[in-house]
Amino acid sequence: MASASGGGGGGGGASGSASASASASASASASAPSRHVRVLLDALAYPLASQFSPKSAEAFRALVAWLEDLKIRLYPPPQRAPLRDIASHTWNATLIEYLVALEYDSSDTLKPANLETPAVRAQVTEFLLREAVANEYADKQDEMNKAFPPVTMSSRDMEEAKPYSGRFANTANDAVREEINTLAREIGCYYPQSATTNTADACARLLSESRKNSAAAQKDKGAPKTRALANAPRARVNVNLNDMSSGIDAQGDADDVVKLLRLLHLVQLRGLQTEVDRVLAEVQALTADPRTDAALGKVGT
Amino acid sequence: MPRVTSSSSSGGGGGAGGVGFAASRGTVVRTYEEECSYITQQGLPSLSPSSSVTFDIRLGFVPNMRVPGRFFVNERLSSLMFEELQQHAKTGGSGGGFLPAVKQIANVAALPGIVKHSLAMPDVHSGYGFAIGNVAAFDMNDPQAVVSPGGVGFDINCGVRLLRTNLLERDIEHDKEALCQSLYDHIPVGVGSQGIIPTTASDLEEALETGMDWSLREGYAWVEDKEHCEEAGRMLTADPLKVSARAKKRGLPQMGTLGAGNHYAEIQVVDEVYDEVAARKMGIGRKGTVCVMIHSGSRGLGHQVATDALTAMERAMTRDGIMTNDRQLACARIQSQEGQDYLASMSCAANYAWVNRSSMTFLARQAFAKHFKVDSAEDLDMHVVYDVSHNIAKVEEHEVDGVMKTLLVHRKGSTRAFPPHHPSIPVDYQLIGQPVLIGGTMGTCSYVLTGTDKGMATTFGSTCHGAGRARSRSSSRAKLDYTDVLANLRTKGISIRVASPKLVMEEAPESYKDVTEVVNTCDRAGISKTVVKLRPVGVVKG
Repeated sequence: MASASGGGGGGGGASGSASASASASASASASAPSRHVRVLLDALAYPLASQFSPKSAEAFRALVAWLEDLKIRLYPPPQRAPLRDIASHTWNATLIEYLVALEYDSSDTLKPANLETPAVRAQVTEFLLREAVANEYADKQDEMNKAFPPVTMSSRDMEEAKPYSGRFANTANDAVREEINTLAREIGCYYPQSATTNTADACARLLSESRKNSAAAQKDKGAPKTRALANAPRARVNVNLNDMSSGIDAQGDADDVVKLLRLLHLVQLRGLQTEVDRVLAEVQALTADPRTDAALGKVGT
Repeated sequence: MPRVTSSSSSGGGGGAGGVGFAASRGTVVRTYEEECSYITQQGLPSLSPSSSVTFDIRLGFVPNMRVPGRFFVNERLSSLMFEELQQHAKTGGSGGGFLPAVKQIANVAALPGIVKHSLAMPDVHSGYGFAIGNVAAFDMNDPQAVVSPGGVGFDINCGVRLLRTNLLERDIEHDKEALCQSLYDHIPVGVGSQGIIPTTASDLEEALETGMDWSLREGYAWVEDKEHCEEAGRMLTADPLKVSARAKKRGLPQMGTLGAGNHYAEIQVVDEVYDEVAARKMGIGRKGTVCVMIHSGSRGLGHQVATDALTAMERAMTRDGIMTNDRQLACARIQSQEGQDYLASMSCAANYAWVNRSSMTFLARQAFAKHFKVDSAEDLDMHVVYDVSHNIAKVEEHEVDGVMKTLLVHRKGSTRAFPPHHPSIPVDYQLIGQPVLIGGTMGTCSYVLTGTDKGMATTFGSTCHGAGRARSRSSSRAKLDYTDVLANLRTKGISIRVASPKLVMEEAPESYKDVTEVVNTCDRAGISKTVVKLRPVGVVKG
């Protein structure tokens, strides 16, 4: 699922957008976790959230071990032991290996010594938290979606919602807006508060669809796993909004909202493509009979 | 340096008076200085280091130009281009051989139905009718607009495919020779080579119609390969009935063969990463990652399709009264029977080329799997990064002067380079733009680029395709020694397997422009963005 965030990465550019400032704050005040990180920690219900600081190597390592153990689960349990051994002097090297396996963008340039810097730790933390939230959603989307029954609205709310047909459409209403933001957070679409109104407005049109689609995708989970599915690129994106262009001539929040919509659209499109690939692979299993005959070959002059 | 007018001063129309036509070629006899007065460099004067790489060719440079010409060259590449023009002016156009590229660009600008500009990429050089590196778009809704086989080239859908692996350079360090030999053993190469995938006449018919869907159905391609291929590896407009029996006869035994000339299969490694986000998205973000690049086309079948079409079009031109400046620019109205027949047969040849590259992908995967003793190439993560075509004409939507138009875009020696978010590029590359694969010459580096919004607006979403020839084949044969060329490659630590070593000097790096200059010029012009540089470690050639 889309986990779009303005933090981490290279950022720091003073573009004035909400996401850029979130990124700047993440690296500048590395002593305390950024607001973004706090929200992600809360979303994951990390028991030591209140004590977490990227400044503390111990807290950082404990968090990484906890995330892998309970949320990300990239390795089979026996392989997780080196990450849990947070006192080990080779722990940083273990983490780099882990980040490479997770396709962390800057893993090539990362050295064990860098991981002693709070700013680098902050970036890694945020990346891992985004991964964890996305995994959490993938695991629990049914349950989460059930946990959000149709929004009950007063007759006044209904009146206000009239111009729109969508359930979440009236974003001027506080209750609706809060509902959308909660959902956005749950599916990993966290977005800084300053852009809330626009984000909510934009998300509203897509959320109902997203939920329907995830339910449909979930139904197919029992289908046989084909090569196409096994090797398909990951059906979610972990991107920094600062790294992408919206493709249109828009400024500030509007530009960010377009990016967010594009990400949501991409997730749907990737899901569709994966489904197409799955069907093709099933048919191919019936028709394919590749052969070669070396006797036919002739090398030219 | 040529005397070229800067746009900051007014370009005088010097030689317009007292000119005569060189009737057979439609060219005007002028002095070199007079010729140059029609060429304007945008922005600062040409000697400034920050000068623009964009040059415009004003109307009047050749007769009947309907739109201006435009080409992109930096200081070094421009000297080759202007020397050619100077030579042409000196001989009064009677020097034989092809016209200079800059004249060819202008002659294309005189074709009916052309819109905006006749464009040329930095690797431009003279070719049959159209220069290689020329991009020209024709308005599909203009009944006079034409399609020209010369604007596609004889090797229809010649293109480049890049496969990645999960291997690093150190994994192949000690058995590079053996791996190169294995690739050579699997992929038949050279003039007259024949493929090892059994193909019947009816297989060929289906392959011509359905392109990579045939490869997929028969099990020679992976499902995901189609996703990462231009047009998903199939032109829907293909009609095998429009392909001559002669073309099919030539194509049948050659399926799954590399061919000769500048075609190759190379084992390469990621040497430099310029755009980490894009490179990672393509799975080639790690330095040292081993890749396989396949550069090949539609073999004899494509050549025959083009030859057949040229003959038919010459007749159609007389019938419809179509005038061109150069006899090599044979063309037909898009909507005419000849035009439609060509597009249907060209699509078949394009499909053939995709099947051909897919078959070679299958063989390369087998070679690697056998060499590394794994059950399947899937264990080596040998996915197609992308597959581009650099000799093709396609119907596309583009904005021309603020209006969306349906155009037939001819790209000859030019690669489509669509920007991020374009609906025609795969979902995986939506955020970074279409990957563009630029094959270097034998033994030099290759590049992966991405398309940009600026390219979409200025070049119909097109960029360069390779190094571009700087010296003719015959001149290379005369001036270079093949043993030196091979020794030079070995010094660089590159394993090489060639079917005909005596022809390697035609393809030696010395015969080509510097691919890095070409790619950098495109980057400077903003028409594509450099992502990754690949270095060859093993070369298999015809």
